[in-house]
Amino acid sequence: MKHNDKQTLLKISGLQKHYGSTAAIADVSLELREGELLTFLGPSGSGKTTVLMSIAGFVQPSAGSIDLAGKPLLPLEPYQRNIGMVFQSYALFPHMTVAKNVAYPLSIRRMPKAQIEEKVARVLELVGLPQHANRLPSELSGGQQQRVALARAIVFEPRLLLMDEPLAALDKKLRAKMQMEIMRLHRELGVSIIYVTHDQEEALVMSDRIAVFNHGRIDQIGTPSELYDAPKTRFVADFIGESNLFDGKIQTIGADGVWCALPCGATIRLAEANAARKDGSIVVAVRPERIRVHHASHEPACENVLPAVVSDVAYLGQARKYLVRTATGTEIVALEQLAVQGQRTFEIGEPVVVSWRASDTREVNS
Amino acid sequence: MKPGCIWRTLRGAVCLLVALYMLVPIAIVVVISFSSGQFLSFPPPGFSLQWYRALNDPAWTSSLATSVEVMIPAALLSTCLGLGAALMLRREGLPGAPLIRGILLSPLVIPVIITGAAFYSVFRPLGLHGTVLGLIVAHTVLCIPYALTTITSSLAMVDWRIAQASASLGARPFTTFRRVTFPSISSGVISSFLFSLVVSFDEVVVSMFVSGPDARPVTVQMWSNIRGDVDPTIAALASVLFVFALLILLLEAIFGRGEATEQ
Repeated sequence: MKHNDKQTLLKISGLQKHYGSTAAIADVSLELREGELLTFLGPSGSGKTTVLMSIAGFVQPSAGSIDLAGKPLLPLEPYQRNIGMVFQSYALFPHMTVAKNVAYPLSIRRMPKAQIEEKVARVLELVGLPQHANRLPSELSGGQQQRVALARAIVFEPRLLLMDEPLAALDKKLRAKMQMEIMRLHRELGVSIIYVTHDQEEALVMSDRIAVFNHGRIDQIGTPSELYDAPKTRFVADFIGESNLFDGKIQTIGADGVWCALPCGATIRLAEANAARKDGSIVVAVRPERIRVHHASHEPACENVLPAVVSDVAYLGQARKYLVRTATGTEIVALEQLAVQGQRTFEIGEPVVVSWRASDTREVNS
Repeated sequence: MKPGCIWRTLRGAVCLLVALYMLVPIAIVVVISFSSGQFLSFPPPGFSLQWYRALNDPAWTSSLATSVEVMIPAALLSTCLGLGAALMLRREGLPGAPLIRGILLSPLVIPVIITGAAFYSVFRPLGLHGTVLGLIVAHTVLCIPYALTTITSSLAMVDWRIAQASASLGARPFTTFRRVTFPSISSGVISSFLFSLVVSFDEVVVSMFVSGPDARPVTVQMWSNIRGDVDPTIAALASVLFVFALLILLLEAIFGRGEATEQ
């Protein structure tokens, strides 16, 4: 990161929004640092877009406050907030050329014409569309239109840029390319970005930090690796990447770990457990790629070893995904990287042994 | 013959029949208007422009002038009001929006004779009866449903987020309207204006209730002319009006659909 000053740019405290008796935002507080790319990740209806619209000024929150650079934002009209916004539908002005679209925020600010032309040319260069200045939006492809929308949102140099699922309408290849472009612009301009998406892969790739939204609240906020390696809740463990989730009961807590009984009768070991309820019930998450699949005769030196039978196999190119079922009916997903040629593979119906380490077994809040 | 070919021929025949059904009466009226005879008869005995000359009569010219004096302000007013209503009705969470829309569209479903009688009884005590102003007000009300539906459908084609985008870029609401919303629906606004012109010019029932000797639109004059001595003047006038309507349709096709571009 070019910008290392970690000053808070945006501060949201106790934000709520109710529509009748339903809460679109139940209670959201967060801080955005200067120059940071923060992603709001969550399923549709989790409140992420409502929070974004509250920052932009198109939604009036029922309670709470939003401060931008220390000044309260909520009393201001949307047009007074000086925040750039990129919409999923691009929202380009259809009757204006690309250059007119990009010049719009500058002409609103009554900038001299020569200066406008210079800035428009520079920003179109930046997004890679210098030769399209005189086209109409309808003459451009989806990716090009989104570049214009991006240029229009950054040309007036806002300190904060809001992006509402900007790539959702693009195909997969183009999306990956635009993700890189946005990351490059973020680095070069040093602008702070709040990026809304429901695509967890996109969030992992792009973000400095991710806020995971669930039912109008933030379940967890942290760097992509924090969220992936140490999910705090069942929802985060399941939404970001894939997880094997087990409901269990704590049996014994010893110096070398926690023993936990699964409903199927097997006992597994965790490195540590804190949030167990009084009755000892606990939710445990294990990432599929941390689970190894071995031949039935193998005895792996691992804390957790369970015999099972392969019930499904999927070939993913770079990896092979196994669905195995233990003798007592628990289903476990294991992902094996195909790093070596001629690696041992297993067929459906073949008896195997699955194993994983206690340190890869994480407790999550249900 | 292949089945597809038969269907295409059949479809063409039906289209041709419908077109003839609609166009032949108009064509006959146009032919009669050039009649050298004294009565509305077909085929005409010979060719003459006498009935077009008869249109020069002050009764016709003044009523034509009245129609124009009424239709332009009525079309302007109904388009402005329709535009305002369409913009307001599109807002989310407007209480009573369906009711307001229903009231504005009601002239379409209420029998015009009722509307006419209603205007008559309201305008009489107000002194609006038999005035150009009264006709303008009545026609504006009749045109609003057309203006509202045309502009509403035009607005529906526009991504409403462009107004939000404009605000986020720093534009005040009026600037947003002037530079973004209005230009992107200008084709609908032009269509609405042209439709309103035709509706106003063509209106006869309500006009009969509201008009008087000093303010008599051409449709009312035609009506009284038909009831008295029927001569081919009416056919000549109908032909003129037909050409006028054709011109408006042509204008609509040119300006109504094309998108305005800010250069």
